[in-house]
This record gives sequence, C-alpha cells and structure tokens, in this order.
Amino acid sequence: MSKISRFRLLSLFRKRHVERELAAELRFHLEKQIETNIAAGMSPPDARSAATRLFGGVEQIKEDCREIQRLNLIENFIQDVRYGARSLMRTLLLVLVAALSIGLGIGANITIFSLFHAVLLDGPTAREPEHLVHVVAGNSIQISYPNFRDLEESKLFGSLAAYKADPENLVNLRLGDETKAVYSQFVSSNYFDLMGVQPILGRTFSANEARPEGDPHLVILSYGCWQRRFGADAAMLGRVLNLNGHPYTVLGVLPRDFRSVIGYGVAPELYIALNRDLMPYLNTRAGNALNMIGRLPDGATRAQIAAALRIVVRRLGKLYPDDNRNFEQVRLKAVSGLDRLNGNDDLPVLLFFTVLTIVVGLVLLIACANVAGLLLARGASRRREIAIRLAIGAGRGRIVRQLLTETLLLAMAGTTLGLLFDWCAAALLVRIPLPLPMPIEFHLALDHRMLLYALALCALTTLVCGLVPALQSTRSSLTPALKQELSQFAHRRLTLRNVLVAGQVAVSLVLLVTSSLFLRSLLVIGHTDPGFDIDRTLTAELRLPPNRYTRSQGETFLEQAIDRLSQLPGIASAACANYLPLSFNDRNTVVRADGPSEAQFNPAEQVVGHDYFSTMQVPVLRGREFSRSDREGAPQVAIINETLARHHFAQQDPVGKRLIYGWGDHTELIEIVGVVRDTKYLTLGEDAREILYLPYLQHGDLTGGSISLVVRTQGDAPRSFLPAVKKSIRQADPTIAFEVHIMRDNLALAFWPTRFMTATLGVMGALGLLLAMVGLHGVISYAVARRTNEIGIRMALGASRAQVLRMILADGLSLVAAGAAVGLLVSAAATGPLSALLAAGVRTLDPLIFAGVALMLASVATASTLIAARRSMRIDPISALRYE
Amino acid sequence: MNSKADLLQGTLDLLILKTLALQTMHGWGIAQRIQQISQDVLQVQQGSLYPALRRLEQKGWIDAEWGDSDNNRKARFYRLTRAGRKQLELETSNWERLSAAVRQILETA
Repeated sequence: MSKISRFRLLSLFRKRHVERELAAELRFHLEKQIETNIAAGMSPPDARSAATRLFGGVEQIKEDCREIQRLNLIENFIQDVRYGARSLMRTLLLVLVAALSIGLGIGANITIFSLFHAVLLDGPTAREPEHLVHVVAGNSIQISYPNFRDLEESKLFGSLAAYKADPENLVNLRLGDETKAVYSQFVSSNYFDLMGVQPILGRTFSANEARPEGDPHLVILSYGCWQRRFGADAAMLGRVLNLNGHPYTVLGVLPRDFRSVIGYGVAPELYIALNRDLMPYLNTRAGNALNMIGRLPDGATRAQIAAALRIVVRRLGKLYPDDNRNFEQVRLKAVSGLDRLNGNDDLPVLLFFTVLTIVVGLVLLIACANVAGLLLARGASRRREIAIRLAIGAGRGRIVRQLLTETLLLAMAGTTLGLLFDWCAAALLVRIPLPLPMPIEFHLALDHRMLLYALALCALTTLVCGLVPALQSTRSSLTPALKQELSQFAHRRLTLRNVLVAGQVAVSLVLLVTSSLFLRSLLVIGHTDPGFDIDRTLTAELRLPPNRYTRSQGETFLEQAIDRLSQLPGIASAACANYLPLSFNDRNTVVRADGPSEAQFNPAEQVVGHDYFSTMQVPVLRGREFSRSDREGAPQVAIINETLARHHFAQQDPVGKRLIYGWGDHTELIEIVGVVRDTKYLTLGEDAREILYLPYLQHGDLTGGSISLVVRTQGDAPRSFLPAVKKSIRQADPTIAFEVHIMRDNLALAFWPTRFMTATLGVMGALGLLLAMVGLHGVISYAVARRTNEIGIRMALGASRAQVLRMILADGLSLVAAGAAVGLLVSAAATGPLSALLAAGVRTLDPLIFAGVALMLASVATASTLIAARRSMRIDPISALRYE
Repeated sequence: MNSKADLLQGTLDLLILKTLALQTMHGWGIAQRIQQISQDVLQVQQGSLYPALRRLEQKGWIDAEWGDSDNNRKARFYRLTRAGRKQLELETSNWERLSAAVRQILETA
C-alpha cells in the first residue's frame, strides 16, 4: 500500500494518533521560534510570549488541519462520483443491462423478505408491542374464563386480556335475506384497553361497559369488513347487526392497516365482547377455549413474570383439583419477531420461505455474476487508461476506490429499480385471493426495515460485483498493457469471466430442475383420483349458531333437510358429514383392537351420515354403509377404509370385529359393519391413510356448529342445481349461514400451494436462464472481438468460415457443458429436502427431468452462442490482420 | 497580524514544493527557508503553513516521516514525491506564464 493510502487509513482509524503527532509538530515549531527569539537577544519569558503571540491560536491551526482532512474525503468522493458517472454515460447499454439485472435480483429479494416478515415476524397493531406477551398457562394451550379472571386478579401483569380466535370462530351475520358466516374474534372486556388501538371511526369498548356478567352486545368492525360487507357506510356507528340471531351494536371501525394479534395475516372481520350467547360454557372452569395476552409491567422481564405466574398457576391447580388437573405449565412468548415462531407448527411455512429466499438469493447471485463479468470486460478495455493513471502516481487504492464508486452507482441505480419492482409486486400480491377458510390480509408496506435491507443488499452487491474486477483491472503487470500486447495467442480458458458464466449456467440449471420437479408434482396431483366423485357432486357448508337446537330438534332438522334435498328434481341423493375430505380438517383418533393383542392404532376420523358413501360414489367393498337405524340407542358401529383393513385385519374379514373407542372413563365397544375404498383425506398428494368413519346420528353435533352436506346430481351440469339447493336449505332454516359449491371448485384449495411454487420457481428459473444467456452472449462476443487477429490469421491460412464458427461454438458450448455438469451434480445432491413439499410419487432424482432440463439448456445456449458468434463469420481476414 | 505580504493558498503550495525540491526539511525549516531566500519579504504564518502541508500530503505531492533533528529532538520531515515533482513543474510553468502576462500589461501602460 502506498504511503498516501496509508496516510488516509491512518486518518480514519487512528485519528487520535494523528492529532497527537500534529500537536508534537506544532510544539517543536514553537520551541524553535523561542530559540530564535532568544538568539536574537530577547529574555526567555519575552521570547516565549513573543513566539506564542506569533503562533496565533494553536487550536485554530489544529481545527484547520482537521477541516482539510474532512473536506478531502468528501471532495474525493464527489470527484469519484462525477468521474464514474461520466465514464458510465459513455457505455449506456452496459449501465442499463447491469442496472436491470441488479434491479430484478434485488427486487425479488426484497419482495420475499417483506412477505416473510408479514407472514411470520410481524406483530399486532398495538401500543408498545415490545411489552406484550402471549401467555400460556395451565394444562393446555388455552384456558377457561374463570381461571383467566383469577390470573388477572393476581395483578402480576400490567394488564391481562383474553380472546378466542380459532378457525371455527364463525358467527352468522344476517343482512336482508342472506345469512353469512363471518370469521370473528371474541375478546375480553379489557382487550382494547390493553392493546391501546385507535379506531378510525367511533370508539372501542372500555373494560367497564363490556363485562360478560352484564351480557354486553357490542361489536367492532375491521376496515375490510366495513368496506366489503357494508360498502363503507358512513352511518355505521350505532347500527344494530343481527349476529347469531341477537342484536349487537356497532361501536367503531378499526384502521385499514390494523394487524391482528393472531398473526400470519389472519384478519377477523368482527371483534365481539365475550358474552354467554357466544360462549354458553363461559363460566365453566374446566372448559379451555381462550388465549391470553398480557402487558408486562414496567421493568419486569419475561422470566421474572413467568416464575411468579407459575406459583399462582400451581395454587389454582390445588384450589380446584377436579377442574384444573395437571395445572402447571407457564409459557410467555413475544408477539413479534423470531421469538414468536412456534416450533413445529411453523416448520412447513418456514421451509417454504427458506426455499424461496435461497431461490431469489441465487437469482441475485446470477445477476451479480453478470454485472461482474461486464465490469471485468470493461476493466480490460480500460487497461490503457488505468495504466497511465498508475504511472503518473495515482495510488492503486485510489483507483480501486474510484472503480468501486462506479460500481456503487450501478448498484444504486439497480436498487432503485428493485424497490420499484418490489412496490409493483407487493401491490399485485395482496390482490391474490387465498383459498383459505379465514380471511387473510398482508400489509407489505415499504417501511424502514425494507429500506435497510435494500441498502444492505446494495452494499453487498457493490462488493460482490465490483471488488474483484477493480482489483484485477489495476494489477501491476502493466507493461504489456501499455505496449498493447494483449497475449493474443495464449488463449486461456480458465478466465474469471468464463468461470462466472459457467457458474451462472449451473445455478440456472438448479433452478430449472427444481421448477420442473414442482411442475411434475402439479401434474401428478392433477391426475390423482381423490377417491370420490367430483364431477356431479355439490357441497354445502352449514353454520348453525351454538345451541340452536336441542338434540332431537337438530336431528329432525337434519333429516328433513336431507330428505327435501334428495327429493328435488335431478338430485339422486343427499347426505351429511361433520366435514368433507380435502377441506383442511385433519382429526386423528386413537382406537384399540378388541382382542388379545389390543393393538393400538391412530386413524384419521370422519363422522358421516347415512347414504354418505353412495352420494360420494365411494364403493363399499365389504359389509354395508350407515343407515338411518344407526342412531342413538342403537348398537355403536363404525366403517373402516381398505388401508386400515389391510394394516390391521390382513387375513381376516374386518366386518363383525370390534374396536375400543375413546379413552379413560369413556370407552365404547364399536362394531365394524363395512369396509370402503380409500379416499384422499387432507391433501391430494398424500400417501394412503387409515380412516375410521362413525355415524353422524351417534357421534355428530346436532345442536349447532358446522355441518357439511353432499348432494349427488344427475346429468353433467351440476352448477345448474345450485339455486335449487340454496333455496331448499334456506327454507329448512333461514337463520343458518351456508355456502354451496360444486366439488370441483373446492378442490382448487388443494392445488394452490403447488401451483404457487411451480409458478414462482418457473419464473425465477426462466429469469436466471435469461441472465445466464446474456452473460454467455457477452463472453462469446468479447472472445470473438479479442481473437479477431487470430481469426484473421486462421482464415488467411485457409480455414473456412464454417470451421471458424465451429471453433467458437466449441468454446462456448464447452463452457456451458462444464456449468451444466456442476449444476446437475448440485441438483442431485441438494433437492432431497424438497420431497417434503412434493406430491407422493415424484422422485427428486428423476432422470427424465434432469435430462430434459439439460437438453433445453443446451439448445438455448447453442442459440445464444450462435448469435454471438455470427460476428466471427463476418470478419474480413485482411482488416482482421491489421486489427490492433 | 503581519504587515508583510500575505500569500495566496496556491502560491504557498508552490513555494513549499519548491523548497522541498531542494532538500527534505521539517515545517519550521520550510518557513525559515522561505523567509530567508525572499529576504524577509515573505513570512509564512504557522496558521497557513500546517494546513497547507496537510493538504499537500493528502494530494500525495509530499511525504512525511518522523526523524531526528538537532539536539536529538524528534521532528516531522517532509519530502517531495514523484507526483509532487511533476506538480511543481506544472505550477512553475503556470506561474511564469501568469507573471509574464501581468508584467506585460503593467509595462505597456
């Protein structure tokens, strides 16, 4: 390092040392002046005072010197920027390509990061959310209302509130003739006091007016609900809504960017104060239905409060030993950030985002490789200019800094483009309707976090793209550069640029292979037989208010509804179930075989009514399906699917065998009366599962809640029956909220994750390939330009144009082959973990996919090389020989 | 504070470079030499000397090192670099052109 850059480094990092040196220097000067004064005849004290006077303000001198240093740094930077901008303007095409490449890479990264943040890390809208904690206490994740009140009264927290927000938290909203099931959050009276949220309209309820004992009927709307269902009615406040058949007063509307405490973008539409209509078992100490959120008191840590809470919890366990069994656990979790992640529950989503982050990171890497390649070529063409600057004394460090500033300008242009790209992508993404049972709203704002991330990426990109080219362009072996000897005949293959392009090809291949795997998965799922009829079936999800009927009333209602439906013209049959396959419901149960072995198994469970299997067109292989006589009071029966039969009744006829169902004090002996063909249960891509079916009239909830109906139509136009079915259900009970669909539409849910992954990876893979091909084109063109002299000589010596073309092609394709080989190896090694996200039956090491992608890559690369090599065909040997 | 001629910044740089072209010396020495050779016409203020030396150092025209001076005291010695030598030539020719032009105008009036 030259003395100059050392000096500058010194000024930055050893400022105090430099200051001390300056002080010493000035002291020396002063002493010399005093000596001179004494030599001229003054007395020592006079000499000193004269010298000091002459010296002026020492501090001022020091300050001036410091100023020089500061100005210099800024001056240098501005000079670098000006010079760099001028230099870049001369090669505008390069700037555009580089900025666009970087923009796409950075834009994709920012979008994925903001999505990741919104889904997994974002916290609720609240006052001082860093003091909020999720509180889990007792013997389960949720707690009962009486226990919650006791904990609240222990005054351990600044304040403690409770809420209920399960996916089944639907209330029936009656608007005119229509009743709709609306996803809501039930909250304790002090909830909004604790959260400290400001509504944009009206107010929230205070702790006093909303006590459950006073049977409050108060509701607050989300912004989305107010817009979508009420058309942003200006007279919303004070309006009375019919919820579950009772009147509720609207107190206020929450702000547009409100984030709920549930996370994952889940957005309840109604916030209702807890009361006994909504939760009939509110005062049961043993019922666990509420989640808690608390505000830590000032200065207390989570650990301290958790320890104190544990004592209170144990005391409650002792006070109520029957209701609060095993009342021990205490867990406090942050409401946002990494602390919030839920271990195993969040694992698939985390995996999903990890894959996405790696993918967009790879795309950015490819873009950086492109830009680095472009900068290397640029540096090579500027070798003369740089050599001259080095010769007249500019330090190497200075030039490297200037080249890096140029790269910084490029990176900043690219980052700006990237932010623009992210803004557009975010606007598009939030419009995509997600086929999930609860309303989801993502807030993908470009806030300070994203900007910081963008700046970090910008700096990283600058270093990755610019450092090596800058260092290489300023290497000290300058004499050949000055004399224009560009080592024409030493044709090195292993140049940095070539390695970069090979790397790009490898990465593109990995992306394309991954995308093809998901595409294959999609096709497999598309052709999977779900096991039941989807072309002629209609489904209806009914939602009754809790305790709408007594048990016998409910039975009557259900029977009448089903009979009426099956008697409609064009309807073959109808049946009921607690929920349908492929509807996000996954309930397992534990049963034991009744026999000497008492083997235990863990099948999925579904509660279905009579004629269910014939309506769904699922073949009964042995025995019978449920009938009307399988009801309360009759013998307990069950039906199993063939996988369960195969696993546990391999050599025998399962019909007639008994199972022990339930645990503890409530076990029953159930007799198997039939075996049915396998159907899919949760996803289309799943492996075969054991399923146990129980009769609805014996195990179903007949007093309220959700019921699903299936209807088999005749003919090929199931959609035409929708109005008739809707009318029939409405006539059966007008207070019920229901949705009717054709089965095929329901299945769209199942395809969604795979479709999304395929599209995303496909786009990223194509992008990566495009960037790689641009890089390849650049490298080949550059090689042709550099070898013009050599080509001229070859042609003068008798080589035909075709032979020259073949030579160039061979060079380009060998590069691609090297990259492709590495890419295939990496794909083979690294795609293993993806099998968790792919459909069953799709092998990650599928030779067909690998070969197909490699072939496509080869053809695209050949095309790119040919285009670049076209120039070599047009070389005139005579002018080529003169070319310097 | 001094009634003698104040030096413009660019001119001071030129004089410092010239002084160092002849010999390596410390800040005090530079000020003394300029004063001596100009026969007391030009007196360099410490307030302008040391910032000027810093500036020249940052531009890479002079180099500095601590060394022993008389009485075994430590002083910071400056010397001209190759780039500085080139700069000196440039500035000297500029100065000569400038002063020749000014002299012509003054003489013709």
